[in-house]
Amino acid sequence: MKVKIQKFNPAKDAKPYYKTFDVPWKKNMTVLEALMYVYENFDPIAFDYSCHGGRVCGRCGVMVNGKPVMACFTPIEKGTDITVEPQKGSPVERDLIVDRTEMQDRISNIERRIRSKPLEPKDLQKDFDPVVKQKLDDLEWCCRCLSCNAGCPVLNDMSDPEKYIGPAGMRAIGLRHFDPNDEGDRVLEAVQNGLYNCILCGQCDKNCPASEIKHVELFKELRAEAEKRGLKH
Amino acid sequence: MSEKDEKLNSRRNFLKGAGLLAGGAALMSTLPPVATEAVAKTTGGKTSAGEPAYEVYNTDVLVIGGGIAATTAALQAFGEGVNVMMVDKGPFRQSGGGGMNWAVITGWIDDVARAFRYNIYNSEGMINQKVGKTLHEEWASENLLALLGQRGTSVFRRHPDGKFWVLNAAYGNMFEDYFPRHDMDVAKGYGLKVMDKTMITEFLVQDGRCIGAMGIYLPTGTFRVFRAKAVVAAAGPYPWIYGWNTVAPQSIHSPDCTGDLDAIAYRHGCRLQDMEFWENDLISIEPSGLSCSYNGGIGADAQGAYHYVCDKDGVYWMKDIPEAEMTRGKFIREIAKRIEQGKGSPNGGVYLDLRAGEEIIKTMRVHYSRNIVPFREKFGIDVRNQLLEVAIEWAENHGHPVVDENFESDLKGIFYPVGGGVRGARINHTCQGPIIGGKVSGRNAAKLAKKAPELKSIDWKQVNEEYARIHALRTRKPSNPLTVHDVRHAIQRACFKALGPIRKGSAIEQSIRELERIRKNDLPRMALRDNVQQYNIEWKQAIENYNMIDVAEACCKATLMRTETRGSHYRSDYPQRDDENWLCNIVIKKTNSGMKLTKTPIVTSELSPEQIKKMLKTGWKKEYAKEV
Repeated sequence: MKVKIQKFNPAKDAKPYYKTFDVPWKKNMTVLEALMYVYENFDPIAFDYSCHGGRVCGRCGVMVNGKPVMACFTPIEKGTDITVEPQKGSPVERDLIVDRTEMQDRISNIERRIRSKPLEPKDLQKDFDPVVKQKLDDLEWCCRCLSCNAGCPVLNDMSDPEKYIGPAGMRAIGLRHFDPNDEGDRVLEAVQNGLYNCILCGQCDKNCPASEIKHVELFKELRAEAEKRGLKH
Repeated sequence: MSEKDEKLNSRRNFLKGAGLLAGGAALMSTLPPVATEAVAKTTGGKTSAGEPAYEVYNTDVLVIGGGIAATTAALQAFGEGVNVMMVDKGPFRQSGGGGMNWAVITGWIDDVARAFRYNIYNSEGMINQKVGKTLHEEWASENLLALLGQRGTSVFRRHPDGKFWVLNAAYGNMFEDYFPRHDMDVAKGYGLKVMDKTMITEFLVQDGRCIGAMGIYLPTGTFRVFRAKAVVAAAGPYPWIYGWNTVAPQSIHSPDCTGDLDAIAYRHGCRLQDMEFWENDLISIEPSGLSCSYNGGIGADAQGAYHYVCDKDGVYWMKDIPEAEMTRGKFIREIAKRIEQGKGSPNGGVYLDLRAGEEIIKTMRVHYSRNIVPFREKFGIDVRNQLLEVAIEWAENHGHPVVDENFESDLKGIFYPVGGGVRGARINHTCQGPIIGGKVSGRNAAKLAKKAPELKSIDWKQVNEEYARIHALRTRKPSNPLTVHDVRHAIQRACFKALGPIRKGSAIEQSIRELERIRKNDLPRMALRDNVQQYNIEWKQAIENYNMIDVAEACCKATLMRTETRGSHYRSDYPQRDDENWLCNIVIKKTNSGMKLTKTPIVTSELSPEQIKKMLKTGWKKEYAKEV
């Protein structure tokens, strides 16, 4: 199969360019395995990964044939050629490595709990409503690979950075919204971060490697809460 | 020129020469006026204008690493009121084990004596009891559930009805589903300075004391020097040395786990201990791209699922072992022995049979069970109607630089949250070690930073030498070159043959000879195919290979020396534990004539060797918490 890879070294190249390599396909070969094959046999490309298949580190997010995926967890179908490009939405450091720091910092700031007093063990051991527990369990699986943001049509066609934080940030707001130990006004935060500018198209659900996370369902719940409080705009 | 003027002049030269100065609030006024020497003595690290081509940063406490131990140490030191800077090899929040967003199991203790004594037993007597005393007292001093919950994990494991899940283990209370990435969110929230994507390649050492570290900023290749009053070394273990599949070794661990700080310490004369001991899991090896991915795979463990493990003949040989008798050590040993009898699978494992369906799947830990559907839908591997081939992987290694009861290494000024002597031969692993070790290390580093002696001068020669070394690695053109990954895979193959679940003297000896050959013949031939400085993965790996060869050789030699079976160290040629000759540690030190291994008595304070022998002979009994 042909593996076409976008290459770019900002210290040398005026603009990105592509190189194509012949990689022998095998059953269940992942995109990461194909990149490793190219690296070891043809060209010392720059690419990044850590958990190798676990969907937990979020470092190997790339675009494959225009779609955001985690390279470690995406098998290549027989008879398919692939084009691998750096993930959309973050600056390219080299070849397929992007700098996700800006969005990671925004997510960290959101996920830091807001509360008046430190937590006690009893706060953490008290019974949870099983429904809330399940929601939190599911939302915790976000590995911050930012595949959702890379495929979001609103983020990809936006001139005003205030318009919408994107699904990854909105998911972080949702986590703390359901967290009974968080005292922040997360509904207001969601609205301020563009809850109503999301078009509920569901691309984030399709692109997210964690099937547990149901973005659109979450955003609808947040909207319902916002409407109860007259925050819709 | 007066003395004062001379100093001022030197300061100016320093500022001009050193390029960028940044960092914590311990600012330039604390820097001694010595840097004209730096300019004068520069050999490698010099621009064409004659100025050093590196950045210098300054802080009170430097924390190297970005995972659970590093973040805990940084938060602790920060809380003690000093300036802290973290240096992380990967992108912060996504590097190493702590940068994996997953459901970690850990615990809190109520009875410090019981926990301590159980862990002495659990380490098969190998832990340094003075270190263990510090660790357990610290562990008892704060409820870990509260600490980790406060940092941000939203919901720890619960029963289906929403009640808190807790497991009463022999040492204390285990809880599950701690998501360590929230620790890093808190660190960011505090505004801790994090210099990530920066790989430490050498320590800054003066008068036998560590006063910082240096390395490269990977995205640009810029050389960075970090000065500090105290350093915490928390860059994780080195399972990347063990085997190679298609994108990873036979390990859950991350490509950044190459033993850098252990190898650097060793080269500075620090003793390494427990290099023969490791920890393991049984995990799926297909599809190959997800092989041994702890979070991406499906595995079995000593709780329940062992009933469903079978050999190549379809014999479920462990199914009749009562749960009360099954430990993780016994589980792994049983599998190793079965494979040794020729009953293993084609790829050196056994099989997991999940065809019984939901009944067993719901008892599995969630990071395994969540992969069952994607295995079927994405990779066509359906555990409902096929056996899953599983193998033993390296989950952790226990060998590290020796630490004292303050968690300080032989090299003063640097603290290892998980040092040699902390885990011994332990098989049952939970994540409290990095948390508690991180707390102690962070606190002691902060204390030291507050009273660190002032430097009168700095010898910048070591910076220039290191700069020259790593750039020579990048640019050298040997006549008969080998690729960096070929050399690395040779190290990994040698370790795989020596350090697996079944260890045999003749195979270990072969691996040691192979590693010596790689060191002598292959490493000098290693060359990069492209010498750009920007995110050059080969450059990073070439530097790491020099660290991997040191820890690999130390592991293999300790494994050969210990002619008995203890913990997960199973010598098929010495299958019994030998307390008469081997209730002792092996320490490894660099000498002029190479690596020197020495048998040393265990460090005791709580239990004597005789008491330990008794415990090991009878197995753990509840009354041992009070009296042996």
